[in-house]
Amino acid sequence: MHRIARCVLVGIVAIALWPAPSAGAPQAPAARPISLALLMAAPGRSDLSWSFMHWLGAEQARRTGQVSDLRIVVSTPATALSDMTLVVRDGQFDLIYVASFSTYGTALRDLANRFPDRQYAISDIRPQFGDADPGNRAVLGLLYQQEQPSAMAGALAAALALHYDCPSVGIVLGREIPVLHEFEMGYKWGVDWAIRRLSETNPDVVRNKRLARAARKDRVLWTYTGAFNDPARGREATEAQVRQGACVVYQVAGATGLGVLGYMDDHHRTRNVPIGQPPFAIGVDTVQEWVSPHVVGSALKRADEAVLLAVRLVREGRFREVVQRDRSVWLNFGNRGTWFSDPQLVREWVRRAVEIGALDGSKGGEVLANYGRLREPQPRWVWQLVDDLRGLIEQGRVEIPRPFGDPQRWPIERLRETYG
Amino acid sequence: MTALRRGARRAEPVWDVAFALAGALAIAAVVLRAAGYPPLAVLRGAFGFSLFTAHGITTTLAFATPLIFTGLCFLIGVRAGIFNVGAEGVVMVSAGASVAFGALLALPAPVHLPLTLVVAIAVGVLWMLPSALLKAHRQVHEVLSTIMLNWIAIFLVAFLIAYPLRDRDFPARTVLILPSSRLDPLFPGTSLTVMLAAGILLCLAAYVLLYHTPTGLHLRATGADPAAAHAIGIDVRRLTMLAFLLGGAVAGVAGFTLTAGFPPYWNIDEHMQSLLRMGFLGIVVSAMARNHPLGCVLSAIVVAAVLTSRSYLQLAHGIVYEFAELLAGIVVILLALPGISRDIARWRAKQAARHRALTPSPAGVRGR
Amino acid sequence: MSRLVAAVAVLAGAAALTLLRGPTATASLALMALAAMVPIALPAIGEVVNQKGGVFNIGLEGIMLIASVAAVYAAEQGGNGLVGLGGGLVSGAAVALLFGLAVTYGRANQTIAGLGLNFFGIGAVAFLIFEIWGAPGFHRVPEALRIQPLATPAGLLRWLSVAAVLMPVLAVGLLQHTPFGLRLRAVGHNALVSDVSGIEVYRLRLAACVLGGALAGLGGAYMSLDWIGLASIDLIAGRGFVALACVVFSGLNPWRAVAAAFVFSVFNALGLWLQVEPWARPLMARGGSALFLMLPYASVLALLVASPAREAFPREIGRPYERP
Repeated sequence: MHRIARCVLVGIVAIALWPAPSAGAPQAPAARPISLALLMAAPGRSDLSWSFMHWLGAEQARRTGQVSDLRIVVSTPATALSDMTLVVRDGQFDLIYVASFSTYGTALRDLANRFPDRQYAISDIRPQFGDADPGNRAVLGLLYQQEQPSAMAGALAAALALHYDCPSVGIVLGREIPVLHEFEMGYKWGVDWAIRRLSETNPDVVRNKRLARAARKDRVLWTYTGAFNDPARGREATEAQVRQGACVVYQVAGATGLGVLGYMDDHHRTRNVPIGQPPFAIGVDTVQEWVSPHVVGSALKRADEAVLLAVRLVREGRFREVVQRDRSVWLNFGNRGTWFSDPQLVREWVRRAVEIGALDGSKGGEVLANYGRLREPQPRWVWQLVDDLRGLIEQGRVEIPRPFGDPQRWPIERLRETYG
Repeated sequence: MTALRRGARRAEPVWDVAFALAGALAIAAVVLRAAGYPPLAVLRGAFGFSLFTAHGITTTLAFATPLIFTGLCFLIGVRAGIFNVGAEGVVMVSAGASVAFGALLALPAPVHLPLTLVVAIAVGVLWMLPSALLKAHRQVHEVLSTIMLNWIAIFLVAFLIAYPLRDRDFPARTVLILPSSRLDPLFPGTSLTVMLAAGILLCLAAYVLLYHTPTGLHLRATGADPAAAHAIGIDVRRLTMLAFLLGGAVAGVAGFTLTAGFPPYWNIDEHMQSLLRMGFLGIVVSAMARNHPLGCVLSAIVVAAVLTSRSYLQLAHGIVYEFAELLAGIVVILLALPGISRDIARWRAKQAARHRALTPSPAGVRGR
Repeated sequence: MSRLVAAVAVLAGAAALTLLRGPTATASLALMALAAMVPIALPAIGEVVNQKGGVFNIGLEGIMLIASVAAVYAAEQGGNGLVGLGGGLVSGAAVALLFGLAVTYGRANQTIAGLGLNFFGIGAVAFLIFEIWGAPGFHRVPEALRIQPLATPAGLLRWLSVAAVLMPVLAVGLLQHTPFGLRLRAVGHNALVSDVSGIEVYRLRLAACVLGGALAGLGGAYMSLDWIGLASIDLIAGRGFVALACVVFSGLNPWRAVAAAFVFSVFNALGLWLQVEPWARPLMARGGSALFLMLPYASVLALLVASPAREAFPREIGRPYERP
């Protein structure tokens, strides 16, 4: 190898071996706004659903001045432990929020035991500490009752299917993982509830309708596309379901779900079906009414709210108290951590989106106009039913299966026997 | 004199890779500067972090360990003339088998761990078997059969995680491997285990096998020229199958490493994040090591260091993850130009020869 | 013989489906498969041309990703979906040109270069989507810019599906009936001899790379501008690799490549369709969705066992050429 090249190489190596600055950016936290470290799993906010929602919440906190220093770290399983440790050890963050790390409850426990003076929050994981563990008062679990909005999605879907006399409703899901079982079963429960309820309160709309006459296990078409990141599959799955007669399709599939919504648009456009006629879609995670004019509702799982809640608790100094008392906080209809979209929320959401520039003004107006055209032709009893269920859930008067939140009580195998 | 020259020539691949790495880092520096970051500080820091800080080096080495195994899997295949990309699937199924055996069966401690390893290896071999048979008897191209089996493995393991292996209390992951079948970390708070040493030993074993045994010679002969090998009486079919199955065994060890040998988790999460891409990265490792077993360890460490540095970029400089991924990709693609140094040398030699030919020597024409 | 068996199998399958579910169902499935086939068949045909010259480019996924984003950008700038398709084609060709330069003149290891290209594509696309549209992750293509398909009662027929089905004609024509094709195949068979006989090895390989990249780019652009209407980091979702698998199956016969792409797409659609069939419910209740999702991959395996490729790969495949 040429001598000069060798020298260059040695020079580069020498420079490289020079003592490197340490990892982690020590920052003194501001007095009132806090510093937040958000740890996510790859691919981070580009997953468009789970991690993205957390990022949204963190961004919102930063933009409203609640968080002065926001550090986002995306890790892979190989680096997660090290990243977490470094963030905690070298940074002086007021709150360390761990998102999308379903297995790292254990790692976080060990970390919290080593650094119990910090404040940690983790999504979807119930922190497991013994009473003697020093980390006992350090980690807050934020858990979601996603069966609640899914039940409302089911009720809405069933109501619309009864009105338009469709034989079934559908749900298109991503990968078959236990969290999604909770969405799936909530939806099926909601369909069942709606038919039972309407049979009592409004039997005319149920009589002789195909959905009501079908066996319980035949009412909901469910497809696991096997991917959260393949819009094309979402599209194909929806096409298959719509062909089988499903006139409402609930998408629980992240980016794959964009294909579901896209199919709805194409279906309506190429067959000249006006807005307000089936097939409809129901969105998930965020308000998705703006994505397609055929989205009759969205099951909201407000991971962004979870982040804001944790930030609020830290700022108000109530963090330790809540951890000590409850260990975990459930995000549900009670605190709007999960929710189902209603017209007021949709309008508010569009207004805010236009305000921050995410949606331009004319598009915002168009979205709201389409939303009106979507809701207007539907009979009032449909919306009444949905609101009834909302009230019942808020008051805790219905019991929806929770195979993820309470797996010992609601094993998936038994639920499948009942609902399919 | 010749021994020195031979040694120098053998060291050439190392220089090539080092040179390629330097070139890659230079380009990365340019990209960093364009994006407004101080290139030298960032690159120095990244390098220093990945290799010279306690957290960095343990992460890098822990990350590199499974890559050594998947790299060996690909490497053995290449040396035998097959393009075995089935490590991905084997890692999945052997990881699933490790969890199943390690978590669902209660065996006494001294026996449990080694048996789990044996199970992982056996499952790895079995998963490779269809591709091996298809290649040996139906001349089915292994790339296709292994890729299809990779995908089937992903869905199979996804099913296992959601149903039979599901932790009834904690459905977001599988049941935890029992303590009797776990490998503890070498240093508390890290994921580094004794499997790194196993990886180094396995590389040495692979080297000895390939270069100092008759079987290895036959394997390489099969890879170099199957027709000639067949002509001189080597059982090409048997050796091809052997290459597949050895690859499966080694990749099975990777699956074990990523579950039983992956503290403090000892499970597979519902997204299988710890398992994905390991086979794929093994291909990069092997190719970078010029498909030589002795280069595997170093190559794995280099690749792992590049990937670990993404953490540094985010932690120390607030670089967004997407950009860190981009940089890592640039470095990896540029590591594919190890030939440059050799070409420069050869070009220089040609220039020198031309110069000599045009300048007559003072002593007149010398007899040749 | 196996071709006859294959034809009979296809007809039998279609007949069975028609009897069980009616002609519309069969037609719908066929149309779904035709639409899904394009982003697999086009890059596969491009790669067939590439590999005839002895270069193998596993970076198809990366090329398709970049092209899918570039196509949307071009369409928005040019105000027209066709301009967008062109943009995708050109960007695919450009990226492939860089790859080609690396593996010919740069003597790079084609495996690593291709893998790096994939890595690069994934990272670059996330970055680009954020930079161009400010949205992390995805951007919807405005309705007016999308390529409009032909609406039939059974579903949508897309123009590029027709193009993909007919593309092997062009490919075979290029490879077998033009001087370029002849020289390219010579280079793939024996680069040294070709070089000695005066064929510009590197230039031909570069041309093949560019052609392959252009087709892959077209496939990527199809996904964003035509089929899905979205620019997203997850848009391609592995189809570049499926295309590679089809190339391997094809034994470098463009018709076989398209056939493999079609079979894969049919079973992919079936895997989703069958999950909602009544008879599938007991299976689904026990986690059987995994079984249905495996179908396309198992089908290709079955295809392989039934019909292994007869044509061998060119001798020079993967070997960077260096004039000794």
